[in-house]
Amino acid sequence: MSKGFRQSQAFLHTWSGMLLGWILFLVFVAGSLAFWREGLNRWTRPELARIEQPMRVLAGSQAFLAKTAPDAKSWFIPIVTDRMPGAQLFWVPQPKPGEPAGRRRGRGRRDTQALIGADGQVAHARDTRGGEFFYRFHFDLHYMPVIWARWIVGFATMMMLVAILSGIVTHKKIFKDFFTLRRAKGQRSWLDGHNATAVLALPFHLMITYTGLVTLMALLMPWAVVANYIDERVVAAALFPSAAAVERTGRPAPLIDLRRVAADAERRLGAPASFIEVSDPGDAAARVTVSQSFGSMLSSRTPRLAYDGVSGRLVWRSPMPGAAAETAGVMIGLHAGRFAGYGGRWLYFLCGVAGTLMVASGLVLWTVKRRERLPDPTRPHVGFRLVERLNVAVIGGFPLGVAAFFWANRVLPVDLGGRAEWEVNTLFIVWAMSAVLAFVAKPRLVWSLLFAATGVLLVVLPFYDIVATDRGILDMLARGDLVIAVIDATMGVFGISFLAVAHRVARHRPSAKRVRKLRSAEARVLEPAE
Amino acid sequence: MTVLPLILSIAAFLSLGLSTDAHHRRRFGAGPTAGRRRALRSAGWVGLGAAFVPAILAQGWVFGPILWVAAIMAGAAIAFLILNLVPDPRSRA
Amino acid sequence: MTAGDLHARARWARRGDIGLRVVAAVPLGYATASLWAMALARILPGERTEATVTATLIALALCAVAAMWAFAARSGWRALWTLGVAAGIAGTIAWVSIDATGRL
Repeated sequence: MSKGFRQSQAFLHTWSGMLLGWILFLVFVAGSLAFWREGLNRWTRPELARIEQPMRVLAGSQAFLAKTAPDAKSWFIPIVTDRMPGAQLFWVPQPKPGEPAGRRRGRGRRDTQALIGADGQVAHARDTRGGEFFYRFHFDLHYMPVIWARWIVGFATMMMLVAILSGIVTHKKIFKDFFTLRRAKGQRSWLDGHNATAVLALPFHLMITYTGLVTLMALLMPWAVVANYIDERVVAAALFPSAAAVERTGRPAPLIDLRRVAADAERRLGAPASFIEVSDPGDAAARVTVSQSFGSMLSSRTPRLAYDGVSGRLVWRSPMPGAAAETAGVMIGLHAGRFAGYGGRWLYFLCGVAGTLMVASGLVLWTVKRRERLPDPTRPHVGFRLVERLNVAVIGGFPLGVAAFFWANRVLPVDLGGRAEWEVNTLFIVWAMSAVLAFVAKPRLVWSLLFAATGVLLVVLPFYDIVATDRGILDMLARGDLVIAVIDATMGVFGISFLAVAHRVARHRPSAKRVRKLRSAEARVLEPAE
Repeated sequence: MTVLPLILSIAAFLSLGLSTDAHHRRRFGAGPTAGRRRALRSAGWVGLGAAFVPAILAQGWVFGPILWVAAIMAGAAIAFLILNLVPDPRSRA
Repeated sequence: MTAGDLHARARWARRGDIGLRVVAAVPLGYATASLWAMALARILPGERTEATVTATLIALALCAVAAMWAFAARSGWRALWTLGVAAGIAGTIAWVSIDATGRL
């Protein structure tokens, strides 16, 4: 491998990593939190009891829908586990005559959704987006049309893939460098930290980045479909097969008990089921489609069974996907990590944290390296100042926003209109304030201030839970409800870490370094700028 | 059986780490000889490869490779922390 | 011409070269990968749905490779014409195939 090639890839690595690095930081933070989305969904709704009997919830869901939306076109019912706060039901009303029968816009409409709790009744919990916010944010961002967000995140992800691949080929002594950790040596220590977090979770980083692109492939790379199909619905039907639709007859007939269907499906699948769709409930042509749980297999394309809704007879089974479709399904499954049990989730989360640290240390490394090369360190050029301030604003400010979100979940009044949106707004308001501070005050000061504030918020939160709710760590441990207790404890641990970092930053005294002698101007022009 | 890939991985990375100059010097007082470096490196690579077998035995052909990769990453992290943060018993001035 | 002028010239030449490489990597790289997605979707054997998915998965990786090539090539112009030729070949394959047997 020639020196020129390595140098070119080093240049590419720096810029493709940095230009959208701040977006990648957000994606990594939110994405890592998203591995705990179900736990956070529960944590953010302290009013709700833990699910003990999933079938009771299913029966309650069916009863609720039969009463509230007996003539709906479709019902969507998740089969819950004890990790979920309840069954988030959703239904699609019959299209009114004259209205097009296509997919209705308005995801998130309140009048066609309900949450059924552990006792099979409608659950009354505070209005919040919970863990779902972080899951959605990491590809849909916020305050913008989702298509824009997905293009931005998709583009940033491709730049990340380029950064990873170029980082690998540019790395001459991957071993020796991997084990090296030079402490308190300025630029070299940051480089070692960046290398360590990058290389030790390298399989994860490569996987999560490429599979992230795969989850967005319909948007980012639709051209293969365009080459083969005039109508994309043909390929969609082939990749996501369903039983043939049946016409509504208009003759009423009672819908079979969904618990019987679920039990039969689980027996046939040999695995838990997680989702039920009912089309035309209450009609003679009703159909019940049951999907196998994501948690039970690697591929995200789980088998589905369709039953006659009145007699309970099996009428259709989804065909085995082809090798390529299965590969894509496995890739999406690997990205989402839903197959992973508790230990697996922790590993995914820790790798995500490593990725977050990798991105952050890369961004900081850029400024540390360049600061040593500034001709006049007291008057850096605009590009340097911008990067330095953006680093503080994003790496320091966004975690503070997240901590504020958790606090908003606890303290915003329960009857506040639009409460769920306000929790999210709190995150962005606090982040915006941090960003303003980052651009106005000295970086050294703002770094420690923001990290310290985040640390305080996260450390105090578990204590708030003990004092002000009945869901403190000790209560949860006594009830055997480990997930909530562990979330509280983890917040506390992260809080302590943020405080430690804040302390370190405040204590840091940059060594008086002699400005490196300017090399001859000619050599500088011809050397690749990094 | 599920833990075995992790143990092998930690041992393998410790071996690979000790084959580098800086860490060998730190623990043994002098850099590794060529023969010892070769031995430590091969032991390391063999260990990583060997961890594949108990991973498959524990979790089958679908989830086994995932367990193997997870064990490699975790082993690397733990070995890294041990090599860099555990102080040497005999520190040289 | 002073030494300062020479250095300014060289600096702008370098910026121009990088600019060409960025054009090669992003719009042209994406176009090349997309055209190869189309070509592979047509010529890969097997069922069309399968070929379509395989072609898409490969094309995503090709985007990254094209970007790396754009910076590894000996010059910005070389990056542009090599990727352009690759795009042209793929485009031709796709066009001829669609012309011959049409789309589903």
